[in-house]
Amino acid sequence: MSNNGVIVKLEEISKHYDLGEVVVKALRKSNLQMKEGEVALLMGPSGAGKTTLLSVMGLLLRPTTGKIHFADNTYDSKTRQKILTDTRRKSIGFIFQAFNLVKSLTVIQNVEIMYKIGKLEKTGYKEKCKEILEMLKMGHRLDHLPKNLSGGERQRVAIARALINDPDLIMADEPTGNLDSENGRNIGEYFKQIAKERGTTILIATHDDRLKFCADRIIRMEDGNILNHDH
Amino acid sequence: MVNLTIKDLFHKKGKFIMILLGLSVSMFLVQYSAGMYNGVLVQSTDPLDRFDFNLWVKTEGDDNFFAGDRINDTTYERIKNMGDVDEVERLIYVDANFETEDYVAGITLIGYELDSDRIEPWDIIKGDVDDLDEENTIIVDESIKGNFPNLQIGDKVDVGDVEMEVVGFCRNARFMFESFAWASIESAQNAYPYLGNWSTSLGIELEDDYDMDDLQDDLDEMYDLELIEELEVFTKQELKENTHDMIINEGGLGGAIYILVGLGFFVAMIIISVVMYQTIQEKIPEFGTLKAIGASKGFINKMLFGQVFIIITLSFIIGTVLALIFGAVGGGAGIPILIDVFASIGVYFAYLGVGILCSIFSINKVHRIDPAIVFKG
Repeated sequence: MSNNGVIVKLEEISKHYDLGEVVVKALRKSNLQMKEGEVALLMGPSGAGKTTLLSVMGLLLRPTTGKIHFADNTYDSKTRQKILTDTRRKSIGFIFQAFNLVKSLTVIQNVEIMYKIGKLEKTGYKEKCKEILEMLKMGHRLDHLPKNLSGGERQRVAIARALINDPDLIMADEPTGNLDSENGRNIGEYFKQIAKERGTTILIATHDDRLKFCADRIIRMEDGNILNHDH
Repeated sequence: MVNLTIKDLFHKKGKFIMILLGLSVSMFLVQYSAGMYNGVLVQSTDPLDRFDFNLWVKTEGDDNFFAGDRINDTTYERIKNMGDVDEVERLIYVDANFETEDYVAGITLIGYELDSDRIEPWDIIKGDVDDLDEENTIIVDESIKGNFPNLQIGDKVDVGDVEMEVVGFCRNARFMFESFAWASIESAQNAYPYLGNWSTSLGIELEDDYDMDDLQDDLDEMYDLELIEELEVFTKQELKENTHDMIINEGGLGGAIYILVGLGFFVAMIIISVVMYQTIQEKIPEFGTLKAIGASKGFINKMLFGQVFIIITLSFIIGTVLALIFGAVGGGAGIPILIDVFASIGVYFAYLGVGILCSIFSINKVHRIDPAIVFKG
């Protein structure tokens, strides 16, 4: 845990894409910090830099300049890929608009996969996967393949996968983009519950105003800049 | 890990079966060709293996078992009378026509000393070897019935220039498409009356204190004195190796087999390369997700190489079983398909090597996938 409950802090983060003749400045010296158990919505028009911010904060991309302070460690443009991969596996969960489940694996296997892809403590992992899926009301569909699930169910499996490593941070990209309003609302409720009960910090990039009910804060972006933080 | 490797592999069953079929056919082609190669070599010197002589004398320049230059019976008699030669027997191993009114086929005529304990026909299935005592009689391999289905004991056929009577049938005495026909030395000589009394090889057994080099020296001396033809002594092993070399190099068997094996490997390379490339193209988002959630490089390597390993192992089993079945049923049209265990293991590892090599490009492509693509829709 960092100072004053801050779990992640972006310090003067820039991300530039060199496309040859043009350099796209997707993030411009942005600063942001989030506290433990906080849920924030990241909103803004397309091309504002939301995805890049999620990618940098989720340690999927290294920043061009600036530093990311996360769970007592600091990451920058020179951090080795292996360290980023290990940190993501141990401390960050990801939720995607298209759910991104492995099609050939069943519900429970899609969650268990977190234990297969790298070094996580495996004691009692099967029971833990079951518990999380039951908490997300997926206990009755453990052996189903993703193709046999509804959109809402798939997203709940994705949430279970994101939670199984007890992450400090969850990055969600348009998590309700492919869901109807009822399922979208349910997902919002889960986020709220997870943040409250587990102290997980959740950043949600979205265009969906209906998710505002679950957020502690709304972060608005435009042209690679963080504009304001509405509470 | 194993779970994902297997589940992912078997997820699209139709595609998996097609890959397996393609590779199994390729593996079959290689195994069958290698088995045929092995079979031809073993079959070519099968008589030598069965004859109980470790030394053979042939005319100078006839360095393989098939070579059929004549050794005069006078020479045979002179060698027989050498004090240090314990035993010597004549053998005629020569191509001949086997002819009835309806059809003519090529056979290998084997003439041998009827009282020999060291050279004799094997696997007699009909008739009696003792009947070969009668002049101009033969025992012929049953495979001849492929061309002469009605051939029976008592039938008269033309062998070379003489009419001979079939007095029996044997089995497993052939080389490739030619059946063997056994006869006494005298009957075999009769098939070529204009050649006089002759044989093509002499099987030799020496006294204990007299070796192969001594024999060669003495034969050279007799040749210098113009008592015999110029002759050369071979061990059984030398004669076998020379025969195999002749078949592989001069007979073109080596080239043909290398082409077939190369073709098999080429097909495998194409299949593995295309399948791996296509699979990875299809699954870029899935691999991106795995990388995003923390899959290590080792995990991805193990998963993809694991799939290559499984596909190749299954194809190897199927291809080898098919080769064994086809070999047993068809027998390579007279050629035994002998699948050597060590050669098979070699083929398996060669395929694994090819599989891994052909996958490296595609697997590197996975390593180059940017995990951030997962947030790009």
